[in-house]
Amino acid sequence: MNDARLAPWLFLAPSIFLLLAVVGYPVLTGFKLSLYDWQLATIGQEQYVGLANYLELPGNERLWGSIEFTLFYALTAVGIEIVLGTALALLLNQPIRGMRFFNTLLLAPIALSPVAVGITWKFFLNADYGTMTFLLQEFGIADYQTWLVQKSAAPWVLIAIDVWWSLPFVTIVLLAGLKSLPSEPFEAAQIDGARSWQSFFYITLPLLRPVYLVVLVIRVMDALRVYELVFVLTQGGPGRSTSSLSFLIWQTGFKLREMGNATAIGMVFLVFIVFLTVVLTKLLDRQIGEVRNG
Amino acid sequence: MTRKNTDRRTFLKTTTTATAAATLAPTLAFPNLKLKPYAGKSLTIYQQASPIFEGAFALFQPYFEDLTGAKISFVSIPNADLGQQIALSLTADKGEMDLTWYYAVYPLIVQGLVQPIDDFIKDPNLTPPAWNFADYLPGPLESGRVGGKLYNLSVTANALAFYYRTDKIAAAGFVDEQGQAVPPATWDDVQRYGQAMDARRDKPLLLMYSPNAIQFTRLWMSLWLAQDYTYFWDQSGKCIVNNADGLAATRLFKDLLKYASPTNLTWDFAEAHAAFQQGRGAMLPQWNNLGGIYDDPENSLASGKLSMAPWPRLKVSASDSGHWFSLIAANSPNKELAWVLVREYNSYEWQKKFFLNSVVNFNPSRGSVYDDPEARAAYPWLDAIRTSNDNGRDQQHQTLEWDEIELVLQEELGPFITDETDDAQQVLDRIATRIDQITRASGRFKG
Repeated sequence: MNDARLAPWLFLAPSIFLLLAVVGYPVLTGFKLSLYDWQLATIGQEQYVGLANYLELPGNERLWGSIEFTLFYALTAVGIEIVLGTALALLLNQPIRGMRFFNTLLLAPIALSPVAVGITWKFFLNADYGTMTFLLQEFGIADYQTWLVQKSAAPWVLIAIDVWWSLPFVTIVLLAGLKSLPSEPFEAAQIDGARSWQSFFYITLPLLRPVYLVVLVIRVMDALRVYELVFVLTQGGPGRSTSSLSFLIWQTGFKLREMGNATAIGMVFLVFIVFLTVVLTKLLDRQIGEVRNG
Repeated sequence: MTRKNTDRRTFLKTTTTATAAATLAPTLAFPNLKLKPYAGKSLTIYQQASPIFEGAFALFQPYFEDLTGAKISFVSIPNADLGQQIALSLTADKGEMDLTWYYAVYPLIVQGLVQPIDDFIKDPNLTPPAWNFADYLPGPLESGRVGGKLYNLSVTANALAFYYRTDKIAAAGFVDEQGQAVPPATWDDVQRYGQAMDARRDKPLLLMYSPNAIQFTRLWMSLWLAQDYTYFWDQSGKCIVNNADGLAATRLFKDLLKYASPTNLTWDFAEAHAAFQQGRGAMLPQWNNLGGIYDDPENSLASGKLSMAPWPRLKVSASDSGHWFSLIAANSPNKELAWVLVREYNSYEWQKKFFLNSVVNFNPSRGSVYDDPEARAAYPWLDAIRTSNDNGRDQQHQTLEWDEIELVLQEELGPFITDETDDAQQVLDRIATRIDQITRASGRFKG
């Protein structure tokens, strides 16, 4: 290999080594563990069971409940965030006085860690002395609320918190996209007599497709991994109504001490996430190509 | 060559004399000085992050370090993480932890991760006869014994008991001939008291009911155990709760909400605990080691109006027990020193000192502390603690499958108390089916 061909590899070598060390090694070790019957308290006594942990997964009632909740949570939360984020980005894109202040205010939730968000909302939703109960009483709606322990309400509470927390990120990315759009198509549309909603649906949205895909890739990955909010606010309950896949992996590994099963669930989850990332990234590439080619 | 040999001889002579002098000099100069037996050693102890355990540490550390010359460091860990941190340290080649206080010890013991302590107790150099092992309460002692070996000594011997406010009960008219408040002795009494005292936003009963926490399952378990059962399944592994007694206990479990604030549904341990301190209720089923905190005038409006009764009866007064044990890591290089700490923690003097401290208030695991006049004067409900501990049942915790079964209880009973389903029989059917599946899958039962 000549110097010119070797040089890129030399420059990439540290990154490749780091990736192999912090991603490759844990993934391979995880896969190996998933082939063993290994209780947390029995290191050194693991028994090789081949694919048995994987074959047990279809019969795992908890797993199906967690998949259902995780998909519902991720798709609903991200869907709401994209709709509301678009509306907010359009609003913030207007030349209104004081909009910079709102831009700054909007950034605040992004700075919070998920555990801090969970604890803050736990206080906010406290049935006895939380702000939500106070507001319900003030407006004469109800004396108290117990949403976090209601099977029908708890998933929606988690989604609402996710929206509150992630909406600023979605809005800011979309706003940046809006600001980078070329002005010519809009001017041409205006000359042709297009109404504002027609400009939005036929120019803005198609041009923003790559930005939407970026938001989708980042937010869907993030929402699928939801763990901290569940851990702090509901512990997967009531029943199993808010048990996310990440929470189930923790529960199986550290609560039930079945590390082999937990890593098997983790590996399947990983494959699913990688598959989704590949599909979304390919879509993103195609969209960017289409936009570039007009 | 000769010169070299002479030098070596002189050197050896000098150093031997110097070493002997250095060793003997302090003893000759200060005949009362005792060399610290474990000077230079150190112990790392994992403990629950709570005022109770941290308070005990603050009291005990100076004494122990002075006694042994060793250094001890406590790592406070939130309860949610404590189990996994302990397991990780116990299974590591060189675990950081030498010793911990923990309740779910059985799975760790059967995997050989915990050091048996029989040999330490038998060794008179490590356990002087004056330590009086015979004084130890049999219940907590048996809980720490597995397969004929003793692994743990209880730091605080706990079971669920019934706290009540003497002023509120007396005001509702439940008094004896001397005008003293009479606590409910049965669950029928609890409901009768509840009906009499019931008033909107001032419900008399406080419960740990949050279906997202594990504590509420303990209440259901204790209603089952009060039906005079010691276990949840038979020897063949078949679940036995699905009968008339189980149905009665399950219905009562939900009926109790009538006498509790509706927001009780969201309360876990900490919230029920705080509500009682805030003076918001007359009766609280709770672990029996919290009387000191509830009676502390600086932190509790219940102070001076507090008492405790044993667990109310259905057929018997039996509830779930939940001892916190001292656990010495089998992979610790300092096992002997760890035992010295456990020994001192469980000595009569320290058991009494811990009990009389209103923050720590560890329930004594030594019988003689219950007879101590100072302890009896400080806590007039001392007999209720002892009775509830004597009647406490802990067989379920000595089962490898218990963690998973408790999760099943949590998953099935949670929607039942939050009104997603009202069919107690259906809930029991599901619990029984799932417990049967777990015990069958374990392969450890004859059935």
